[in-house]
Amino acid sequence: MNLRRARDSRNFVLDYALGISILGLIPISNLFSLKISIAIFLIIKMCWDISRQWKFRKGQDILAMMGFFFGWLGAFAMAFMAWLTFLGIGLFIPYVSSFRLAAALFTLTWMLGQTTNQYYASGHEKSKSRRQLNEV
Amino acid sequence: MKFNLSRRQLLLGGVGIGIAATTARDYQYQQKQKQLKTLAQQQIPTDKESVLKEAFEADAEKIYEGQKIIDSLQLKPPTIPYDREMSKLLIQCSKIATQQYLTGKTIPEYDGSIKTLPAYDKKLDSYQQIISFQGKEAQISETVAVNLPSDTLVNISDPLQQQLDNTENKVEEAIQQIVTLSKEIPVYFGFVLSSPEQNIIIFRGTQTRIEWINNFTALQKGYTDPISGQYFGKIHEGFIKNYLRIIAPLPKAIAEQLDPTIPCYISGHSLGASLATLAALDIALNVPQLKDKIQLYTYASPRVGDPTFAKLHAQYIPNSYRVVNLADIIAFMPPTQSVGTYVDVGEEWSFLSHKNDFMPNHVVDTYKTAIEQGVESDRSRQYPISALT
Repeated sequence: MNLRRARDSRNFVLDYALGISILGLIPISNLFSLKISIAIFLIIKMCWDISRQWKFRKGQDILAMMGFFFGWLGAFAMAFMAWLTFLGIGLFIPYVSSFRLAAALFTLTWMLGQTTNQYYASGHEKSKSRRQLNEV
Repeated sequence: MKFNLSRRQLLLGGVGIGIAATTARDYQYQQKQKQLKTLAQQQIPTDKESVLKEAFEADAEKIYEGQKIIDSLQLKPPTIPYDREMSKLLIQCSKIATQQYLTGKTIPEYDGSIKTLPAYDKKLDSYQQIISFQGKEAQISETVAVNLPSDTLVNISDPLQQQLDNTENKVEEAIQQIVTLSKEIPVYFGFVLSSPEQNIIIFRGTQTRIEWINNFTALQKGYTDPISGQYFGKIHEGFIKNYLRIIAPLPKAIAEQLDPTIPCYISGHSLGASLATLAALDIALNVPQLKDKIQLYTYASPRVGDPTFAKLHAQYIPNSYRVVNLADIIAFMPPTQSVGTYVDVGEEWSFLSHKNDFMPNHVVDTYKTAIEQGVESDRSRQYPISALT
């Protein structure tokens, strides 16, 4: 993966993460279901867009698949930890806990985006190396 | 690139506005809380002594609130006197029910017959065992201690590794406990005996950790009998859950087959007592021909329901007796006023057998010994009394 492509992908995921975290910053209560629904929709759209950017590249090996699975699992764990950390800090520092949902959504989107990107990048690298091998 | 930059700026702007809005809302909320606090402080009377006096009076009143609730129910005493001989037989049956449960759990081929059990008494020869109650309970993995040669155990010297292993074990145990909650195995819940003179329905007491957890889950739940449509009042959620676990046969179904012209004794110890309390009401409501013949004897019974339940119970089961060891904490659980209001049912017959710990004071053998000696009494006592008398 070249550097420009890596930077573009990172920026793409970062934009989504910032956008989705705004949902957690909307100071209107009783909108949690709506916020979560929109967040899920945007995350699915982000993953779809990433795979489209990689032209739905296939050929990932078993390690890439395992990395993808554990990456998703880790994304939820990290999001939970971010939520818990903000909640915990909020007990001692005022205002911090109000950002817990935004922090969790940002972490979740960022991690899921990175994992998905890595997964497709692995497929690309493999198919490229195969092509290179054939050329040799 | 330019588009990307402006989109990023837009998003960062959105985040900034969001942070500002959230902080502003929080600030507003905290200001409101401060105002309310100030208002509350202003309303506190300046005369601290009168406030303190009121607090003391309220505290003293709270202690006797439970008794006031019980007095307000104006429950009537039973019409049939307490039968000591019958009580001896019933507490023996409670012990047999415990053995029946354990045997069923250990020997899968066991058919539920009580005659083969060590606690079986010849006095029961004149009775015929009609059926055993079966139900489901949460499966708990039993552990057995074994001696392993020391060389088979890995000696861990790394303290960090030890800490990690301990933590992993604890997490595993916790997950296992949560998972096993969903697994259920068939067990015996009691039995029914019949003779030409009387019928006896027995429920077994608490055995598993999960049942203890259910016992202490003192959340109340309104319960309406699905057949009669009668509202029972608010009942201890754990007890009603345990009662509904009895599936084969249903107590009311078996009660329909019993002779309605002879007395029907319903009894149980500990959790079995709470099951017996619920079963008695269930049978009285759904098998009306048996209603006047029911006599309920409970041993170490925790409180089952709220005042509505107690009143309904007294109305349908007037001949109800509650035998308690005054040193048995289970008999006084849940507190009259805790998560809800709990009231005892039945005429109290008490004795004191203090064995210095929670379980020895509660077990069926402690009750059996006391009842066999005939020391339970319904007379009121004056407290405090000397421990030497």
